[in-house]
Amino acid sequence: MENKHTIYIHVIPHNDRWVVRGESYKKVTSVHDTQRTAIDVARKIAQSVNGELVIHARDGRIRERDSYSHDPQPPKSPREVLYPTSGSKTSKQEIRKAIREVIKENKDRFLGGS
Amino acid sequence: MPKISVDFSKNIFINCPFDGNYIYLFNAIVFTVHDIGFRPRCALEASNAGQFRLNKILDIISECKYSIHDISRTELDAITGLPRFNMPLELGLDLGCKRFGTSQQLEKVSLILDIEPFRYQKFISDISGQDVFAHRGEEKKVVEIVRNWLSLELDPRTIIMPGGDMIFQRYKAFQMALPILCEKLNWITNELPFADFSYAAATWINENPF
Repeated sequence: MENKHTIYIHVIPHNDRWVVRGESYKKVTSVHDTQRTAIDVARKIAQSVNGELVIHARDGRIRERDSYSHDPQPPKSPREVLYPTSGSKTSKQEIRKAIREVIKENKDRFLGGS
Repeated sequence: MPKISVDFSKNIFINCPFDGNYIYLFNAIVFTVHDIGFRPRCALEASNAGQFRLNKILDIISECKYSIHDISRTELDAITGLPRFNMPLELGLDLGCKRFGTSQQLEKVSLILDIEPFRYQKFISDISGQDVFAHRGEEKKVVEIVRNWLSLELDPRTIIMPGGDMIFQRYKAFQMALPILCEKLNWITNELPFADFSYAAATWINENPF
């Protein structure tokens, strides 16, 4: 596979309108009244260059991405569950044991048994 | 100044009423935050001996990249005839931390919840421009709002993230399991401290991968 950098095509808010711009391009490619038309144009460009469409929200943060790159995607992983910083007065082992029992005893009643 | 938490980018400060009339929404938010892989923080965390409440809140705010503020409680107190200002105060502290804090704290992101859309413009119009969403007092709606808001912060190419409907179904299942769990642990279901509820939710989620 040819080793080349991904081309990113951004849809960005600008003065109450939406612009389409490639990441390495100095000028905007096009300006649109609605985000929808900007996305349609940007998507076609991203598809034609096997790049990546990057849609920004009104506040500038990235809202959505769609990749049309041939590059292999990294494997998806489930999120890590984070525990609270302040501890329960009941021991962690006791809570875990009780939850496992509840799941085992009620596996047909709710998702716990799936 | 409090030390920045190593989990800054995973901590979410929840600023909302803690009374019995709001607990159903608070619990739904806590569960959703856990199910997406973040850590809920709030003023109900066990405090250090002698620590003033406001100092504790300031510490938590400084350690959280994300914050969820519910400003829906605007009604006047039946006895005093006065509104409660704690939630707007803590929202202001959080926005101030983002504005005047460290370079890391400049990245803070806030979600503001109210019960009706655009109502906030009548009593706290200065927050226009922030992410303000209406949950209409519904658990399912608040789950969807929090999930969709946090989804912007995760890379969908690398993280498997459940949809709002799936999280809500998982939360309903957890709610069904909770009274049985409380019975086993000699907990009182309707009087669970935040630490117990949060730890039980996180453990249940860990034992029930989607």
